[in-house]
Amino acid sequence: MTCIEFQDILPDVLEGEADAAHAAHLMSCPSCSELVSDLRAIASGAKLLCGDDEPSPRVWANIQRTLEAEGIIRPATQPGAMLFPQQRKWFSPAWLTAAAAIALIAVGAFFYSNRGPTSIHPQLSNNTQAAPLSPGATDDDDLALLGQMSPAERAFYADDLQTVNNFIRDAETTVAQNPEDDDARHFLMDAYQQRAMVYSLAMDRSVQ
Amino acid sequence: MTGAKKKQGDKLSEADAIERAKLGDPEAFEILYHLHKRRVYSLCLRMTANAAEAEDLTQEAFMQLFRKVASFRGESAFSTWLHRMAVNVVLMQLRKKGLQVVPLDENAETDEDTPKKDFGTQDIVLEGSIDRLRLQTAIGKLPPGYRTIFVLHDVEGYEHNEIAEMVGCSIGNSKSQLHKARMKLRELLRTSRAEKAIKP
Amino acid sequence: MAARHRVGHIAVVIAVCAVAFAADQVKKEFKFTVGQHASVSIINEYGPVTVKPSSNNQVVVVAISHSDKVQVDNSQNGDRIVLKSRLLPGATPANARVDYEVQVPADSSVTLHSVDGPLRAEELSGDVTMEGDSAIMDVRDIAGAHVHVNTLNGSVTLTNISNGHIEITSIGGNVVMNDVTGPFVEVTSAKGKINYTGDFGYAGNYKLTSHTGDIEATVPADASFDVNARSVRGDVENDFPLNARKQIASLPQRGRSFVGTAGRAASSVILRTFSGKIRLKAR
Repeated sequence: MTCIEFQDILPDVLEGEADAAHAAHLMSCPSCSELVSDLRAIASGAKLLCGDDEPSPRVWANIQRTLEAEGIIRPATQPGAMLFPQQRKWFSPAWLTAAAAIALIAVGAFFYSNRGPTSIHPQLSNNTQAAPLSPGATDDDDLALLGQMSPAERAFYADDLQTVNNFIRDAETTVAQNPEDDDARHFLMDAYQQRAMVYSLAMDRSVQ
Repeated sequence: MTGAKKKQGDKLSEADAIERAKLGDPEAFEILYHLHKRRVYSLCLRMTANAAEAEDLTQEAFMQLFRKVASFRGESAFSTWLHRMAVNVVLMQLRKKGLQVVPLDENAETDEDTPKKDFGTQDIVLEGSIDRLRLQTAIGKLPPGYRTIFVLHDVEGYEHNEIAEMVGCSIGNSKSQLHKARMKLRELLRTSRAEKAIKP
Repeated sequence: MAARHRVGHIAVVIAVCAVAFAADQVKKEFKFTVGQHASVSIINEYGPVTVKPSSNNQVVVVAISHSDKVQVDNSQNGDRIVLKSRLLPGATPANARVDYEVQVPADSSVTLHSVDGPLRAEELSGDVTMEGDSAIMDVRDIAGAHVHVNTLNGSVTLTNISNGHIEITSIGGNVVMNDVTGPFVEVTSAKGKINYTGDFGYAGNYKLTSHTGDIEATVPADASFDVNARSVRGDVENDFPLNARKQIASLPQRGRSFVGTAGRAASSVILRTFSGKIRLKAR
């Protein structure tokens, strides 16, 4: 076997697929032997390059900011209920109880918000063009977001929030009924992401 | 606390953090981040050889993970899941930059960086010991395609069939690129050793 | 006679307004020299943005603002260009409109934002990101790039996008895809319809999901894909000759789901709606 022939099958040799002819060549050829030794040293040395490097603090700061902006976690300065109280273990009875409680509160808030001019948010109630919020869009964060907007914008975004909140509600119901249904959980995740998108676009408008 | 119990304690705290993260607990996300940041960042740094870019990709990998944490079902280790996500994020970035992650044809001679075959004319060998810092520097000088396969296989421990699936090449291509990467590293390390020997 | 005078008077008023409107328009042109893979962002509030490829390494932006209630700010940091419409006191959606015509080197990444648009990008090989509220969005003739679109209610049309990584999120805007292929195509809609005409090619992963919007896919008879379609409450209809899959995770529910393969099953296609209809047709 020549060096050229040996080095043509060198990748296989390094993977442990050497036969007698390869071994014999290695024994007799110092050059190829050193080459194999070097390549094995490189492969071994690579394994020791463990993760010692550390990213700067700005990476976590950016992640935290994005998590808050997307509503995945609550802001650090704002105690209280999580933005997504619906994220519970799918099969937990406690979650089902909480879901029922949220549904009751939502129904109550629907009737409360439609009772007349004296609602919680005078800004909304004073404007006859404001779209009434549906049972699915009575989250305090939705109200706070919409409260910052002009009447025309409010109607526009309230409709979109109602759409995504309906989506979330339907997906939650399906997950509750079928906890092991992957599709139902994916629907719920998609619905949350859509809600995050509505918030992101609405907040861009409201800071202008 | 014995080593085994401590390890079990650590494992429990990650599992707890995952469950709490599914509920939106901010502290849980921070715990998960600090547990895995070094490994993810090191991977990104080795594959891109650029610290700023590695930080951006680390951020993106964790954000993708955190957005999907609710759907983690524990079929594989959390770290494995995160690691695969980080690899995909980096590969996507390399593709976006128009860099060919791995040449489609394993026999294609890509450029002048193709390592030369060795026929016994070398003057300086590595002598079996490789300085970690020099190896890291040499990896940074590899062409992106070689660097990707080398980091995934030799540093991160992925098998060729896994690499082939991730980067979209054949197993044969993955093996060929790995070999070329190692040969190129040998050249780079020998060059740097020779330069070091010459300097006063 | 009085009516004729009235009409004449109105015509004069309209003419005066038109001149006054035209007089308030301000046209600005910006030119930037960039290297490879430049990044260009146009953050508009109201008004259209159109992006086409340039023939050299310059980014050329023509911005026409329709009043003095909006200003166009611009900045360049290396190969990163940002133009932003800044609203001034007294701005309204009507008078704050800015029309952008942009030319960029084809390998540039572009990010476009406008509340009401429309937004258009064509013949590029860099990434395209679009975001809008009611803006109509049109992306065409893009190869080997990422396309990300976020819209609330604007319609989205993608045409001739090859080898792409596509992610579209829409609340109420309809999404229409003609000849869109890629390793990755994911469309999520709440109530907007999703319409796909193409071959699900490139051995890619395609996932079309909606809450109440209908999903319709029309593919040629020689397409190669593995499809899994399901609607939680809506109807599904399959007019495409599928082969039974060898292994399935669970039995499809009659009338609500179907699974199967076509050709060599090269691509993976997932169609999901909550209560919308799903229809797969052969062309």
